[in-house]
Amino acid sequence: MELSKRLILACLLLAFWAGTSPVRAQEPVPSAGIHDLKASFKQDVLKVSYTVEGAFTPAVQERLVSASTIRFVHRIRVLHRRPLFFGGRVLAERNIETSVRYDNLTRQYALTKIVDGAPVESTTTESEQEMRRFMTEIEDFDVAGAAQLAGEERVTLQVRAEYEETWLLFLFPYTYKAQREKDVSLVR
Amino acid sequence: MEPQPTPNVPGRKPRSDRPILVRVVLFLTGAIFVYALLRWARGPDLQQLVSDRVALTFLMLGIGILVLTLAFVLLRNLVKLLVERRRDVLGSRFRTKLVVSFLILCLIPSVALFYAAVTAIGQTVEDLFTPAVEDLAGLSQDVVYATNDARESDALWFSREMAREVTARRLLDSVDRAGLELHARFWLSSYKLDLVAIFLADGKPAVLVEGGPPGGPGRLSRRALAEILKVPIRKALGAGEEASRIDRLDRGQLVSGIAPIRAGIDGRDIGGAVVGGYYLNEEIAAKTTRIAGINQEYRQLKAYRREIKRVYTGFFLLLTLLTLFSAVWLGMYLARQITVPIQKLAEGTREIASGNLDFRVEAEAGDEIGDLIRSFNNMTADIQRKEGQLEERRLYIETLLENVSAGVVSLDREGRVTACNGEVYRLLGLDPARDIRGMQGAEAFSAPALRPLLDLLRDSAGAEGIRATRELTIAAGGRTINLAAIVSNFLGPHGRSSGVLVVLQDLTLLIRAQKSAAWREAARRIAHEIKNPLTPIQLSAERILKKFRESSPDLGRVLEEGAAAIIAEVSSLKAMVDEFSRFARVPAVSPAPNDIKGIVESALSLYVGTHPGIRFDRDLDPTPARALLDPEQMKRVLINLIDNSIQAMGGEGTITIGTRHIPERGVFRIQVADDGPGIPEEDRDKLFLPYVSTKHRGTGLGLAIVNRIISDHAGTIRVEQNTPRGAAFVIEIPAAGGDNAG
Repeated sequence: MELSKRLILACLLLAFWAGTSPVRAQEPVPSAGIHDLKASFKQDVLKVSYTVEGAFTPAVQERLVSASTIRFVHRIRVLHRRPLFFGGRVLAERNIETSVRYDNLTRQYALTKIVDGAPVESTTTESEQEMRRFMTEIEDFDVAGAAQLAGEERVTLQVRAEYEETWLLFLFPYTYKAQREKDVSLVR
Repeated sequence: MEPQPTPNVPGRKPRSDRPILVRVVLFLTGAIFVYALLRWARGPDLQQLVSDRVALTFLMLGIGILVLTLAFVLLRNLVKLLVERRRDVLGSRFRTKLVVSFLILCLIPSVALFYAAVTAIGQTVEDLFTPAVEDLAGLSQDVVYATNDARESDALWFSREMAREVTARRLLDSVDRAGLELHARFWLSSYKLDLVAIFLADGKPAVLVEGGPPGGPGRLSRRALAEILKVPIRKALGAGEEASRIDRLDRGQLVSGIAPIRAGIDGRDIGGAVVGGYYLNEEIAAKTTRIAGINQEYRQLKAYRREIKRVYTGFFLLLTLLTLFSAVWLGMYLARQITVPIQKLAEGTREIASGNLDFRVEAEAGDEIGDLIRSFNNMTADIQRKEGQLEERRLYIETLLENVSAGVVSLDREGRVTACNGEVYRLLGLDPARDIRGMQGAEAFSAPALRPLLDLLRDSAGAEGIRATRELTIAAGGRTINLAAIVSNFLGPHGRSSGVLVVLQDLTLLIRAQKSAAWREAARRIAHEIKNPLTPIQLSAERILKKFRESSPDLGRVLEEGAAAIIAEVSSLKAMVDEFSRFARVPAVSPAPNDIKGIVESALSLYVGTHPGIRFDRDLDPTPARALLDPEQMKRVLINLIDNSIQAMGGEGTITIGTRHIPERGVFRIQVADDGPGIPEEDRDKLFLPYVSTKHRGTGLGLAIVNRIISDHAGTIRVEQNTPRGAAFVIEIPAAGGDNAG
């Protein structure tokens, strides 16, 4: 191919790239975090408490006030770590899905909590603070019982919160996550 | 024979054979998807769609897959075109030009439109969120909130008042529900409320009285009210919290205030809760709901504006690629309409060139290309028919050749043997199992005994239109064969030689017979010639003997006369023997480039003034060409021929000696013609054989010597009828090549 033809091709590609540039908005990458991660092993039950901070990003808040349903998914896993192995053996896993939908007429937040696929709580509130607590705070949640932790002296508690949903390359749905791990001794 | 269409070379599966169902399904899927996109893009469905993550995922993936598929197909076609062009596939250049032209034609406006559309959509979406619109949405919502707040405030105030009255009058201390309801109806009327309800500490509604406008949204059951106000009642009963709220009903809205009823001595206990509320009439409720709905849509639009822009971008990208793809496809389709038949024609020419005359080009084209294909097929059919005729003719000629008694061999311009019959093998002693066709002449006739034939072929090579006859003596296989080789050149379309045809005739038996006849004739003549002087010798000797026996007085005279006669006849015999010896001792010729004119003049000078009745004319070639000849031997030839002519003419007439250089044949022609009685046609063939003479007293050796000298010059001699009368001896000898110009 002659040089001039390559030049024309390059110019066309550049024009095409420039044509698509208006839709490539630069968005700040959210960075929520798991805070106050606490685990307690009482009466042969491993309980976990934590707070997800920074999950209510501007995009999430914008969607919240637009009366869209906002879902946070908390995935809590108890792992038995093994040396030289990636990941670890999963001893227990619980999933909590908290969702909120704002009614801009009544100014009430309709809150729902689903644990392992089963609805456990459905309520309303007019308090934003209460809504935020509902969505982001997990308090003394039973993660694993004695049967699941039998023989374990030390386990790893892995907490992952999925909060903001976005798109990669305009095509693929992607959810931002906050994750944290904590080693928990089960020896009394 | 009707030619059968030959299936084309099997290779890649033709496009038309691909399952039509797959193509139809793909097309319908794409069309339905684009139709759905168009529907979504024009209405509020899009907003609903983009807020649904699963649907949006499918939509974006659908767009993405279509875009990637189109981009892939587009690139694949372009790459394929480039590869074909690099491989110099027939038609690829034309196809590339057409496709690139279409692409460039569509690319610039498509990209410009894409850019403009995406920018416009982006700008339009962003323009929706101006401060004014934002204020309008917010203020309208605030108006609704303010109205509701006022109502809620009233409802809460009245609820608080009712709760205080319940506490003050200890209305919950008794179980007089009727009295409680009576109070409730009084408050309902006094405070102009639409609903008054009293909940007990256990959360159950003890009293529910309702008013409200006729046809209004009221008339809730206790259970329904308890369900609606479950949370604030629980909070009021649990923590003593007051609350005011608005709830959606099936028809309209309920604005309520909830106040705890204090109980106990210090008022710390909660004995129940009072609810006072208003039903918003349907009209107002519908308006506030509508305002909230619009606001909600606006907020959603704002929240999902990126997704909306992405959908539109994807949609426009899809349309742009669809346009480009259509342009490329159209270009390729149009190009294919032209190049595919051309490719098939090219394939047809290759097949026909390789000898497959059954091949027919099969291509669907109804235009001029179709005419071309039909013409091509007709032409192929004609060629096939003529090929058949040629084959029949070839077989006929082969049969003819195989059945002629002469050996026939032909060579092409490059000297390869192209045809040869069985007689050649027999005559030349070649191995019949060795097919010499296709071999070079030098290889086919490589045996040493065939050297004369090779020399003849070499001499004939390159000579234009030569027709030479030469006698060859070939000793092969323990026998000697005399052959007459007649060499003719095939003339091509422009008069140039395209090969050589050699006809070999076995002269062995003929020559043997001729020799035998010649020897008989020679013996007869020798006997005659010897007998002629012997008779006078015998008579002279007998006369001398007789005179001697008679002791005749004239013995001396008779002896003298007899001896003289005997001496004369013996001298005659001696002369005849000398002539025989000369024939036997003709010296070898030494050809060299010589001027033929000088030799002719030298020969004619001998006859100046010798024959007054004969005129000697010259018709000499003016060009300074030279011939390869031995001057003395050629002079002898000319003298011999002139002597023959003089004797034939009887002392009167004209002898013309002419020379001509024939450069196109590379020969020099010398002609000695007279206007004498001529030579009968039946004598011409044996004229040059030894001891054959048409003259009464000739030895028959003169022309034999001439023929031998000319043969030694690699030339030919023949006798023709002179015009208008007489005989003409024509000699052709090789010209002197590059020296001719000298």
